[in-house]
Amino acid sequence: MGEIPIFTSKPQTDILIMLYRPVQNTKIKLPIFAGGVAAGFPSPAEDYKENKIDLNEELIQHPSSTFMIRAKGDSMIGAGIFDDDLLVVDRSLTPVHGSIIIAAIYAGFTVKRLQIEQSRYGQQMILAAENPDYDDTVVDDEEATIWGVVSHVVRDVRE
Amino acid sequence: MIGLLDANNFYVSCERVFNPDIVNKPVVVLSNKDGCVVSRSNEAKSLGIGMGTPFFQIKVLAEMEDIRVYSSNYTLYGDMSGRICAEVKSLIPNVEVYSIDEQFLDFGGFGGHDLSALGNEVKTRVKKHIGIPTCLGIVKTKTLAKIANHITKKSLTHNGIYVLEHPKLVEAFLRLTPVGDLWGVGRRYQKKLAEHKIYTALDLYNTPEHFVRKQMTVVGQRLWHELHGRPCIPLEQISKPKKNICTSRTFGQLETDLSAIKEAVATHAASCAEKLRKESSIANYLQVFIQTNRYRKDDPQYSNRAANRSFTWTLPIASNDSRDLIRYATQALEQIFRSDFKYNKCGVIVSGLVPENERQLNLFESTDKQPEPIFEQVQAVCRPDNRVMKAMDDLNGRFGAKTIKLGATMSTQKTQSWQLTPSLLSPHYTTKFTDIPIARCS
Repeated sequence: MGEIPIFTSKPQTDILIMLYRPVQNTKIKLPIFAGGVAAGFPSPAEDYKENKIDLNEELIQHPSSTFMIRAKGDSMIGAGIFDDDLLVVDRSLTPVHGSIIIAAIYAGFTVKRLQIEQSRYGQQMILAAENPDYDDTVVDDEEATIWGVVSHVVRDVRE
Repeated sequence: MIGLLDANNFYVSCERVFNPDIVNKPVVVLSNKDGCVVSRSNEAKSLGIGMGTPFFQIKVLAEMEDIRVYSSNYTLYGDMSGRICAEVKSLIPNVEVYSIDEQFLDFGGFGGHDLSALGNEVKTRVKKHIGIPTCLGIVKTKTLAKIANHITKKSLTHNGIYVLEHPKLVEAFLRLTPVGDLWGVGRRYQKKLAEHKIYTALDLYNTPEHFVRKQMTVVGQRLWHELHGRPCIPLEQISKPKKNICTSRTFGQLETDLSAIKEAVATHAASCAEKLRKESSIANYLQVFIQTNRYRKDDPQYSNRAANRSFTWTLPIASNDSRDLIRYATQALEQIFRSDFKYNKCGVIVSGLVPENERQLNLFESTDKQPEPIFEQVQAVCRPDNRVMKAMDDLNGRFGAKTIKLGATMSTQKTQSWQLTPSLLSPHYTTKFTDIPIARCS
């Protein structure tokens, strides 16, 4: 229940009697358009409004398995990943030939393009750089594990 | 059917997700203030490091064996725990979060499904999507789930998952479980049951129901039914409102100085108040405790709780205002403090929690200290002046915890010894933008 203050107006004194205490822990959110149209024409856009664009929704499909990782270095510039870029990494995605992946190697995390090739001994995993200055490395399961798949790159392009 | 999903060596596993170089190394995580070991990797276990071992006892071993040691990073563990829960719920919608690393899963309503396959899917998903290995026991009741999970963890076969349906298998598991390890059987009952030659869970299972009821009241009877596969403890999906909040820490070093302890108590009181405000509760009662280190047998011992000088202060008006709680907590401390003791721990407990909007006022009291003309007083009743606290919480929320603190909780040169910042803390990889992991492109 809300507030029911009763004012009894007598000459010179206003007395306020509280019958109920107001409930103050409820918040009612009103759509912005619902207010402020008491006078004048209603906005012609009112019927056409949509939700705002939410980058979280666009860039993060699977929040519980998504992690942010910072890229350091220039070995992936051919794939559009530059020094200090922010990588959105989704562990729920299945890595395939050509995915850009985060690999966990002994020394830590590294960003590479995954190449899976058939060789005489079966499948072979190659961690490929996207910069001619760097060599590709052939690894086995013991040397590297695929930690997650990079889905987006976020970069501040201001100088 | 109910499943208990339990993360293996959870704190260690969290650290390993972000540090691939420690994957096959012995790793331990220490408690608050780096006191003792609270999580161990299997490699650390096989070096003989027990749960709760004080850190100083293994310092030399840690260096010799290259054991990786971490302070507990509860921000990280909390975030990872939430991720696991979200992941599980995408497959099994009804989940009770039992602790930071354990969840009860309701497998009811999955009739016709292969539970073992479904369970495996849960485990695989948590491992792949989040990186945490888990164990899962699926049985008829929560009590049995606890037992199954315990044994699953030790078992080397079965891939960390057990579906216990056959009564013979249940009995085999019960035989392996000491009665004292059962959920809700304390040391007192264990002793009592031993007098009647009941040593294992199977012994209790085979005891007639009326005997259990007589010895252990209805609580034991419930346990007995749970052991027989009849659920008596329902899944609690909505967390119960807290009954009390306790904040306590061990000091960085032994403390004799009242002003340093006062600052610690004030900090704990402020932290209790903050937790109260976070869940929109107010507290009616407040307790303060201090104690010496009971493991230092040569030192004189004092603990106000043991000395039966436990002060429960009834607050004049229920509050969640840091300023109120600090004031009453420091007053309480002055009453229980005895000089000439070396204290190692203090804490503040608030209880009698009620929702903020159900504040009871005394008949002649208002939250306003000086009675004002009637109109003003009514206003004060409607709107207790919590604006300062709200502003403080907002600022701390925006610019990081402890941006603004109350004076009583600030360290002076003289008092700052009571707190030691953990030195072995890993970054807040998942919750702080400046702490996110780095991947090399080189």
